[in-house]
Amino acid sequence: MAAAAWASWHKALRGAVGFVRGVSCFYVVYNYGGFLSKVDGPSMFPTFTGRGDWVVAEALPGLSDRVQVGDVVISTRPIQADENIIKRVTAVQGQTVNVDKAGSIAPVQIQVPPGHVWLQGDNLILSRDSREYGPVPLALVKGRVVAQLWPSIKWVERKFK
Amino acid sequence: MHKFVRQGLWLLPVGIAFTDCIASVLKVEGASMRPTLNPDSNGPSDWVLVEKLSVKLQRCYTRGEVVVLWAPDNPHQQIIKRLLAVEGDTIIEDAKTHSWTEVPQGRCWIEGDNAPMSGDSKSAFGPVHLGLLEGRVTHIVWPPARMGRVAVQEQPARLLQTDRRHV
Repeated sequence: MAAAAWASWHKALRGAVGFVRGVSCFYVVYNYGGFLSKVDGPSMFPTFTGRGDWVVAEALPGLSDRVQVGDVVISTRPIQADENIIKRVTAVQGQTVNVDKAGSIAPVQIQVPPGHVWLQGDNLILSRDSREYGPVPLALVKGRVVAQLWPSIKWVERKFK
Repeated sequence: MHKFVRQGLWLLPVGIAFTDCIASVLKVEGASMRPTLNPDSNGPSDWVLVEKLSVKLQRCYTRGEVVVLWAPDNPHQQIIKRLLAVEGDTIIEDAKTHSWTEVPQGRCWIEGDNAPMSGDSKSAFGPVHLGLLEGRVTHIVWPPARMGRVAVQEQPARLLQTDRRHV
């Protein structure tokens, strides 16, 4: 009787260890390697349809140093930390951006501070981005989109306006 | 021998996942949290236990707790400050001039206990994004003489208005 009880405990423990190992592996690959993400929303049209496109993003160490103007990135949503956004980097630290602010005649000049990037959706009309919530700290950027898998396979290029 | 090496290799992803998401130990550098942390410039640095699960996964924030976060101006550096206010709160920036700021959605206000030597929301960054928070400092684990809990110190006198929805 004792032997049977021990055998089932041992089996449960082996299962738990396997689970922890599996989850840890997935976590490390997702945060230090690459991951898939689904694009919902029209803010990056026409680059992505925003109706369930699947993209591949890389999150290799040194990501913050590799992000450049024109890259499409996935970042923690600045106004809601438990959500993600996908936008294009249109300016990096030190560069100046002109933003039309409601209520002022001339565009406002904003300089992107150290450690931050300026994000904008490719679909300017239907995108809530840095024009609304300001520069985004690089530590929030989780991945750099390199390719789309669905609805068609294509590289996602660095693009300048 | 082979089996032990294989078993041991699993420590790497499990260790990384654990220290990223559950808890880790961090060495405190600098004087910005005196006297709470590193009170003696001639003594050894404090090492603290940082609990991450509640902050990173549950997004649970407590006013007055000491937190670890990524520096807004340097994505490679972590800083340790006290969380004074969260989104929706209104905080008095300067007691003398009585200037105040409403903390915008998705952000929080952090300050070092040692104001003159701290780069924080008051002196440098303004409200910082909640997504930058990594964990809470719960205990000092080294040196032995200073082992113990790191207290939560709310500062209600600094808050004009608090948004209790966020706790």
